[in-house]
Parts: sequence; structure tokens; C-alpha cells
Amino acid sequence: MLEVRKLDLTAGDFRLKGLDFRVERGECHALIGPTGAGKTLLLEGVAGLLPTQGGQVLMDGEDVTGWAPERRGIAYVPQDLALFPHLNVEENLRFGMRYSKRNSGGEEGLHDLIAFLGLEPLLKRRIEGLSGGEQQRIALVRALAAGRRLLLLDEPFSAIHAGLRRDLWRVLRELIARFSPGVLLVTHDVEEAFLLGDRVSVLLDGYIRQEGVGEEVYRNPCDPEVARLLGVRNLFAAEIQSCEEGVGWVLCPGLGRIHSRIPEGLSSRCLLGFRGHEVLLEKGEGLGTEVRGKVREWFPGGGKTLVLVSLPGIPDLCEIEFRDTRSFCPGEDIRFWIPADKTFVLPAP
Amino acid sequence: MDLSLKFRRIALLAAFGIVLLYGLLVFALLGFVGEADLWETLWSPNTLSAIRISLLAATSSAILAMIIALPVAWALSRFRFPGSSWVDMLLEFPMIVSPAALGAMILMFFRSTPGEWIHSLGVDVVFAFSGIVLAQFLTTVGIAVRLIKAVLDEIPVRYEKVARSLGANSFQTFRGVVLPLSARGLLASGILVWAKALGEFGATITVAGSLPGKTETLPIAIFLELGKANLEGASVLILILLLFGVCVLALARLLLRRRQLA
Repeated sequence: MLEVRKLDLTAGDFRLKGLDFRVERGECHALIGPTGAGKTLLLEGVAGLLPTQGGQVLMDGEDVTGWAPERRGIAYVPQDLALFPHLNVEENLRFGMRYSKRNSGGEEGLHDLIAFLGLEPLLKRRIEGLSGGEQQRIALVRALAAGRRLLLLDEPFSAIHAGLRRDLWRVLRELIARFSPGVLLVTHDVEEAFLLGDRVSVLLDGYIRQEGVGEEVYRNPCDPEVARLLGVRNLFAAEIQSCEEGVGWVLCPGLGRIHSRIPEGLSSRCLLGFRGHEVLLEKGEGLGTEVRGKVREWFPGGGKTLVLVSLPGIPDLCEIEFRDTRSFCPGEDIRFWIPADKTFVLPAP
Repeated sequence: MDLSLKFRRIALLAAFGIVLLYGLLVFALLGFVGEADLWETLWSPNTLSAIRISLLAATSSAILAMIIALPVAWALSRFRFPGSSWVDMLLEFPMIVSPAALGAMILMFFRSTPGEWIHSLGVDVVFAFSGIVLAQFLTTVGIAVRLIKAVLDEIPVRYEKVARSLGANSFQTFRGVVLPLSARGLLASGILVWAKALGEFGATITVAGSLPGKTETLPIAIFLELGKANLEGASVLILILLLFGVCVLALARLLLRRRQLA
């Protein structure tokens, strides 16, 4: 559906360089990046709202790089949704249909969408009186009713409280399953990116650093910066001792000998990483390593406990998280189990 | 005493001082208006014609200024283009040049080759109604651009971006999103431009003269009455002009207030 090839975009001194990615029909591609990474710039470039400095944007194989935004069949939904305040809900929903008669699904398509999201009671309401969740639904339906084949969503759920956000994730999932638009979702929320994204791209320093199927990117971040952006707090210097067919042993001061997946082409000096919430207090099944340390600090609350552990022989602290509320004593010995399939190895910086 | 409180009192005192000053001016004016003079001057053919010419010319020039200023203001509000800061600066030209000087420049232009060519096409502005419209247009168009630009600057660009991505072209976006969102502000701007045109004197008298029944506007009529030392007659005309001005300013404030509340 959407194919972006070597796209260059500039805004002042900031530059996005050589961006390559695809979004297929009925697929959600999540683009994750920190604030200021150029996510909005990328969306506006793809939508044709900003001039590009190089590269191509293709829709269904057709080069639309030089096309005006209204001809591309791509709907842009900004962070604040930009529902038109001078129109009521129904007029907002029909806005795109007025101008995209050929592409839209017509009255039947609109009624289908309205019924699907239960928007009938809201049709005559003004925008300013609507809740955040209602506005989100309307923005999504407005884009689809205009016959847009691809939705560009710019952090659409960032201003919504956590409980409602999960409802809206489900709504988006259902809309994609039912109406099969392609969705390019930019977000800085790691959980949102991996729960919604069939594919995930990581945008850092003007480049797409990593792109792939969500679970693959989650399990195998390509470098320490990407790993940190994806929420990995435990990265320790290590040395590869042996490697065979992508798995092997890594020696990590403070943690010991750890069995891990090892990507090809690494030198022996490396970083070992794992996520704090994936360790176990008891020895688990399968391969893994038992680690001993001393509790430095702990923060119980919200049904979980975050523990900072000092490890023998290294100054770095290890951060682990338990899915229940626990209490510790400062300096108390602690043992935990790192399952081998939850570790990964990165090139040393 | 607290310094900020002291400063606030001084500021309030200054505000009341200005209001008092204007009040005194109006009070002094009313002292010259007799009931007999009021009705006699008000219903005289000269006054009625001056009101008619003033309203017609101010309305024509304000509409013209708003039509020309709208796309200029939109371009200045939305795009950075080579020379945009120069265009922005040049729009202040009528505000820094005296209206009489501007009127003289219009006259000089119509004595130059391009001006004579325009004249040969049948466009006659000297001592003509069209001269009033031109003089008022040139003195107000810069202000119109400034006012409209301020209105458009308040409308977030993302509305236009979304409208474009939903299938509307530039013109459809302007008509369907920008205009409705800025309607109140544009109307208020139009009223202020109209009020400014209504009170224009220097450029108008320089270009169009003061032919009774043809180019004599209300401000010119006031000037002529003062020339004849007829203070009673002048005070009635000033009162009429004042009344128009106060009404339109009140309307503009009302519209702008509603816009802020909306």
C-alpha cells in the first residue's frame, strides 16, 4: 500500500535522511521515537503537507511524491485531532465526503462506520462538548468516511488517560480488522507501539534505526540507544565466550555466565541486556542464570515493586521489577533468575 | 505602599485621565450644538449628500481593501517567501506617510506615464468620487492586511492540513475551513477598516477636492464649515461622524468579544 523509499525531509536545521519503510493494507505500522525525533515531520512529508528533499512516496505502486495532499488518499490525524469547531459531529464526518466523492464509501459506508462505533447519538452535537474518547472516534471515522486508504496517526492517544487509552487501542484494532485501512501510527509510548504495531520502526537521530515485526524488534533491539528507547534499563558490559547458530554463552561481570541469543558479526566485547520485569524470583524452566546481589533501594506501589540491586564487583545497579508489592531490607541478599530467552546481546558502543 | 499597587494606581489614573480628556472634548462639542442648528444642518441637502458620499465611498473602499487584503494576509500568515518581510514592512507605508502626502503622491502618479495611460482608459480619479475611493483604499489596505493577518494567525494551520488530507484542495480548504473559522474576526476587521475610511480626510481632499454634492465627504464638510467659522454647523457634522464611529466600534468590539468566547 504505502512504500516510502529513501525519503529526505528538512525542517530548519533538522533533517530526516533516507527513510525506508512500508505499510500494508490492514496493517498498523508503529513508528516509535523520542520527542523531537521528527515523527510529525515524517507524517507531514508522507501526507504531502511538506515538500520532500529526496526519495519517493508510493501508494499502491504509484509514485505520489509530487502530488497534492488531497489526491494522495492519505488522511492525516494530528495529535489534537483538529476536528473542525465550526461544524457539528455529522458535518465533520461528512467533510471529506464532500470533496472525495469518488473514493468515499458514500452514505452506506458512512452509516456503516457510524453504527460500528456507536456515534449516532453524537451526530448533532458540537465538537467542544465532546469527551476525548468521543473526539478520537470521530476523527478516525472522519478519515475513513473520506475514503482515505491510509491513516497517519500522530500520537493520537497521548492526551488520553490510561484507562480510556486502552479502550481506544481496541477501537483502532477493530477498525483496522473491519475496514482494512493501512495505519502509520507514530508514538513515544513503547507499550502502545508494540500492542498496536504489526510492524515497528524506531526513529532516532534522523534515521530509521531499526524496522521489523513488533516482537522481533522488542526482543532484539539493534543497539544500546534503541534498547534504552524501548524501555531496557539493564545493559551491562560483557564478553562473548562461545556462539553457535545464533546462541551462546556470554560472561558478564556481576551477573556471571549467561546463555543468550547472539546476533551475527559481533566482536567479543558486547553489551548484555534484559528487561527488569522479565526476571523471576524463583528458578524458571529452561535455560537461564541465577544472579545474586544486594538490595540497594526498592519502591513498592501500584501492585508492583521496583528494586535496585547492587551486583558483586561492578558499580552499575540492576533494576528489576516484581508484579506484586514486596518489602525488603536495605542490604538484604536477593536472588533472581534471568531466563535465557529474555536476554539479548548488543554491540558495545 | 507596595510598588505594584502604586504602579497599578498610576496606570488606572492615566486610563481615567484619557477618558476624561475625550469626555471633555465631547462635552465641549455638545456645548456648540443648538436644537435649531441640529435639525437645520442635519436635513440640509449638503449634509445629506456628504453623508451619502461618505457612506458610499467608505463602504466601497473598505470592501475593496478587504478583498485585496484577504489573500495578501493569508500569504503573509501562512508562508515564508523571499521578500515576505519587505512586503510586511511596505504595508506600513500608509501608516508612516502623512495622508496629505499620500494624496499628493496619488496625484503625481496620475501625472506620470503609467497614470496618464490609465487616465486614457477612462479612469478619472482627480476631483471624482473614484478618487475618494482610491485615496481611502490606499490609506486603509495596509491596516486591513494587518488586521486580517492577526485574525488568520489565530487559526491553527493544522485545520488546513487535515482538510487537505481529507480531500479538499487549497481553495476548498480556504472556503470551507479558514473563512468560516475567521468570519467574525474578518467582519470585525472590515468594520474597523470601514470606520477608518469614513474618517479619512487628508488624502481624500488632496485627490478628490471638496466639490459639494460630488466629492465632499463628512470630514471635508467639517473642515469647510470650520473654514467659514460656522462652529455650530461643524459641531453637528462632527456629532454625526462621532455617532457612526461609536456605533461601528461597539459592533466590532461585540463581534470580537463573541469570537473570543466562541
